[in-house]
Amino acid sequence: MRICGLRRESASIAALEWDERNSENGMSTYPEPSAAARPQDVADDVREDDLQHVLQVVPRGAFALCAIAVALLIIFWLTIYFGIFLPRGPVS
Amino acid sequence: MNEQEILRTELRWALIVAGAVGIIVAVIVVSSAAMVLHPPSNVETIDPTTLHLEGEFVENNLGSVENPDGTITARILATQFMFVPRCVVVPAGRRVTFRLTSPDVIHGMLIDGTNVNTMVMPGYVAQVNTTFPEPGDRFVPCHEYCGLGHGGMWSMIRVVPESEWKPDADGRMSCEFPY
Amino acid sequence: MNSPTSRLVRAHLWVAFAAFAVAALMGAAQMLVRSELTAPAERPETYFISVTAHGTLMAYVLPTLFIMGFGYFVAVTALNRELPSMKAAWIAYWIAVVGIAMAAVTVFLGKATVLYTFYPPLTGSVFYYLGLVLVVVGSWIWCVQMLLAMRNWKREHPGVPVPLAMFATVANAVLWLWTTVGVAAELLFQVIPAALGWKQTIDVGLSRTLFSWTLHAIVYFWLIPAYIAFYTMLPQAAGGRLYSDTMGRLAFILFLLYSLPVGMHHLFMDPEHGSGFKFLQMMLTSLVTVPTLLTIFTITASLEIAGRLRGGTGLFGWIKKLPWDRPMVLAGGLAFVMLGFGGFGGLINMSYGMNAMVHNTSWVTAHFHLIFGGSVVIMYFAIAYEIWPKLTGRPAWSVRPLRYQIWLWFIGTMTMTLPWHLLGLFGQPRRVSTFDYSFPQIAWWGPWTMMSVAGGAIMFLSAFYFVWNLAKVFRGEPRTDIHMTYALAVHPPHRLPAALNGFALWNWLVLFLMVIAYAYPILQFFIIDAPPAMIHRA
Ligand code: HEM
Ligand SMILES: [Cu+2]
Ligand SMILES: [Cu+2]
Repeated sequence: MRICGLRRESASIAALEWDERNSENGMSTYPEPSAAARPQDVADDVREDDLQHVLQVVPRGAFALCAIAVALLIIFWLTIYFGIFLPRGPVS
Repeated sequence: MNEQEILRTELRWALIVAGAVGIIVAVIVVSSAAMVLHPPSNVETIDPTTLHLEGEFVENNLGSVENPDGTITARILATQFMFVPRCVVVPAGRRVTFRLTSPDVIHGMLIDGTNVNTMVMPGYVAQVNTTFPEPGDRFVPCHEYCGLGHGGMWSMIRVVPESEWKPDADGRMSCEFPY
Repeated sequence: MNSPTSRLVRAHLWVAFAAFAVAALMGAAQMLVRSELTAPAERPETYFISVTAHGTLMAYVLPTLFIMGFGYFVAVTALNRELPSMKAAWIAYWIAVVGIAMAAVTVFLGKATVLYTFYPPLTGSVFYYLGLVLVVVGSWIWCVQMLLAMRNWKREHPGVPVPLAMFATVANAVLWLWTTVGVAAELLFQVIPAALGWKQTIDVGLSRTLFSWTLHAIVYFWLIPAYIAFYTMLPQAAGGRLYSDTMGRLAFILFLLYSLPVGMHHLFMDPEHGSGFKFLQMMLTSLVTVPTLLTIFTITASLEIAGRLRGGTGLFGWIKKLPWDRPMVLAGGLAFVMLGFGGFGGLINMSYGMNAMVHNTSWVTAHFHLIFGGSVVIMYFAIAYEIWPKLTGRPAWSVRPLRYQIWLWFIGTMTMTLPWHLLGLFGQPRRVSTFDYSFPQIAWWGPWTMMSVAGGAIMFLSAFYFVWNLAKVFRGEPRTDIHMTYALAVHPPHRLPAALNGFALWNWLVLFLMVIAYAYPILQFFIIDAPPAMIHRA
């Protein structure tokens, strides 16, 4: 039985079983992780259609961000290799 | 987006990663082969208990010496807690071969601002080849913990211009640790 | 979480964090001794006792006890079943605690000032080594528990994917069993007989090679909890989904494969190995960057999902929409930044000939304080903050102190390691108690060491803030409905190939790689017959 049209799938069986127990009671609250008592500090619920919607764009941003990071890494490495290491003389 | 599509984006990223790592590895491989750059790695053993009695590390054979082909060999003994000799003089622009060993525990040796760096282990001769591009006084700390006196284990390499390299009849030249 | 397991987990974490706090205080003091300022009791003897203790507590006690406690937590929450044996878990705990006490007392009495890497022929009191052995034995019992927990669960759930958090935890247990083989062989066959006076000589080439077997993989043992948090907690905390569960499994498998046959990159500057095997292990080391770079992408994509779900748009607009006020998200972001800098340092270290430029300089200390002290430990904080309410039933009354503490750790780490990198590049050796700043070539180091002192002090503050937070901030209204939820994947797996749901195949591959990478380098010592070194008692 699914409530509110939210399809929930669980990466953890613990959560799956919890889910089933609670849907039997007719409750839909999913066990939320919390770092604090205040609700604004607790993770949000995800709607499946929202998820599919954002997945039309994701991972474009991640791709760009990671590519920039890796490019910087390579540039710095090349700078050190050719700018500092090699001029300091040979080693063998 | 289904799982297949997600994995396809991951694969595309993996190719970028492979390319990036490939660039680094390629630079290392090509430059190491072309310029003969290697970590010091001659596996050569020596008996640490008889160093002071016989062989190339007896006291009067330590320090730098000019070889017949014009290259320099510098022999240094790393002991608890000093390098012998404390000052080694070599000419700039020539190939220098450092040979080091230890009669007691593990030490390390590096020359600041250069790529000379090696562990010095009892039982082995550590050998490093280099050429110093420029003259100057360079400090040489022991870089592996060798006991409570480790921090005081500093010596010096004096790189002199070719004109000031004036070895004696045996091809040797020495210097004083100035501090 | 039921209270007996909670007690077990907390017992482990408190030992870990107590060791951490003590060691942080010593770290800050060491910084002061190395600087231009004079510290109280500034003598080489106190310095090296301190560094031995700091290294031992930070590298052996904190991560091992943290990983054991966190592993029990994951096994119980992710599998939703009891541990195979609570009794064995407590026995393992006490074995480890006795070992820690034994090693620590020996070090503080000045009987084993050999540093945490204890390179022979320098040897200390046998009680130091025996203490370490006990810690390892305790952790082996933990490994067996994790393996059994997964096996039992799989029997009850045939064909069902093991939850990712547990899969990763077991990967770490398997990795740790392989990892400890090297150091255990060194301790049992070489160092302990020497420390007991049964042997007067020791083959130092062999001992360094065996230690190198352990030395790289142990770093991944420390790191994996941070990656477990990246994959199974961070996406959840950010309000999104894990982008790919499969990639998570793959990353942990790759860590298992590639963190072992690469340890000789710590021996690039050693005279007892030829350049052939150094080159081979450099090539293998370059592969160990792959799982990390894959993780960066998968997790960034997971965060992008979260940021866009919260209304972020544009190529980077999602970043500022992330809930940075949550400790896990904040710690994750800062961990990535430090991982970037630390990873850069690591790339320099692994680069074969270029290792000569930085080997055993402060560059290396900077590198591992960034990756391990910075990224990994900041994730230990975040994990502790995440699971503490589940352990105690009481949430934090405010997340603000948690956030401040995390920021302080980041700022401290960056401030401390930046000058260390610089000075290392210009020849400052590590493991030196003090420098003669009147030496003209190094006079310029002074102000930079002062900056490191400041960074160390900030880290020290943050360390105590952390312990205070755990003790005082998790005092919110008691709740009974607190449940651990791990991040959901966009497409949670329903069926997995056996290779992605267990380790049998991968163990064979590890064996194969280890034979290629280490068989000759170890056997050579029985062929070349190097003259042994005389034992020196420290
Ligand atoms: C308050 C924060 C910290 C400060 C101020 C600090 C400072 C230091 C200092 C000054 C050294 C000695 C460097 C040398 O003589 O070469 C050192 C070594 C070390 N630190 Fe830290 N550290 C801190 C936190 C950490 C953390 C969180 C870890 C890991 C979890 C860690 C792990 C180590 C290790 C493994 C060593 C090497 C010891 C050795 O060379 O034998 N430190 N630290
Ligand atoms: Cu030394
Ligand atoms: Cu390593």
